[in-house]
Amino acid sequence: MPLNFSISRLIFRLITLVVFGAVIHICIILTMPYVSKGDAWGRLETSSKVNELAILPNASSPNRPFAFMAPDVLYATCRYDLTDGPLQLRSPLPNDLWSIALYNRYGENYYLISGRDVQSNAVNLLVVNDKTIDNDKQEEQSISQSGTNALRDITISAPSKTGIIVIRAPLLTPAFNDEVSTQLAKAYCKPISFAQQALVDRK
Amino acid sequence: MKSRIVYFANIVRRYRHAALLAFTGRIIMFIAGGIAIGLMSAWYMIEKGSPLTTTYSGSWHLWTQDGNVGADPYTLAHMSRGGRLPITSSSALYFTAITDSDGEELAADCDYILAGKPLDTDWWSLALYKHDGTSISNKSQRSSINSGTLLRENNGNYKINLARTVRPGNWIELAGGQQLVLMLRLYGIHATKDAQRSDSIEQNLPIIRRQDCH
Repeated sequence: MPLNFSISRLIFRLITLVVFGAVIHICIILTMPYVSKGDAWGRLETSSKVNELAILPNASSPNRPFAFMAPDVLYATCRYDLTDGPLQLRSPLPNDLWSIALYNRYGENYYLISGRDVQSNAVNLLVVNDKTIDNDKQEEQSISQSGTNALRDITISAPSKTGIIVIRAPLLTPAFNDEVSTQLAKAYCKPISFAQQALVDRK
Repeated sequence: MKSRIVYFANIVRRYRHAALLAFTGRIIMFIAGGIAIGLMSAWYMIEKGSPLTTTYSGSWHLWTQDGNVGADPYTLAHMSRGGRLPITSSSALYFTAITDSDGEELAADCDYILAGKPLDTDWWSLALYKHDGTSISNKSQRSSINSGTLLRENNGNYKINLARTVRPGNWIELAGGQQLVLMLRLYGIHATKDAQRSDSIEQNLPIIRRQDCH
């Protein structure tokens, strides 16, 4: 009897220990996206301003913000905050491989558009925090427009007020580095209210 | 009589302290054990993944929900800890390999040949990294190769040499010591072309064969 009692007590203690460990495990997993200082937003904070486009150093640079960056892709990012209004992102899309990916604050890629999708030389994205807009419909409308346009306007609904936009410009060969860099430097992002203010000032 | 009472009182006090100490010690050990179990299991699930969140195709490891909206909490924690911004897995796939096809760790003092079949994507790129994700800096500046520059055989198959010294054909210069990581990123995976396409991609991933070691 005493032996049985001690074994059952041991099993009970082990189960309690595992349950306690599981609670700790779940807490770590669920809070990680919200407390991690090493997430993408945190890594870009030191090298870029909010609502401004930043061209990232290449993969071999010691100042690169991310691990595992592709050596044959040039990156530009825009950390956005829509608290004061929508954001305008304008970027060239000179070939099918260029892409623009929009992420929420925690790295979920809620919207992606590539040169292949829009069939235009450039795209003008208006990012708004308006949940009544259906992103898929916007994309369908964009794709359904026939012909090659110089510029395509698309309005995108962001799921939250903060997020990150990443422009990826693959290099077919290293020889294209300068050409692609020049193209990428034409991209910009800015709050739309500032843009409107600039128009008013010009008048 | 009084001295006997004091004597017994001291014994009781001493045992009380011992019992309290033993109880406190057990509680501390319990809490420490629980935290250790929670931390280690969370680290493993975030760094390595599990069959719930990742798949293996030969040496190639893939987080299946990478970048997706509504991804499982483990994938979200993995992305956030690594500071990664992957394109949604319905449009891009990121395979990593840390071993050759025999399960041996990739190291710069061995040569490797990657033999692969055509991958049905718009564009792909294979790059070599140190274990912490730092790009390998080598003299020839050849730490990656992509589908745009790849030399192929007539049937579309290809071989890529990973070696310290120059090789004819497709070549990535090895450097960086031990614990190397290969990342194969595939852009232009279209979800509308169903899961079969993803399966065919996984079947055609390059096999990493170790050659000579120095």
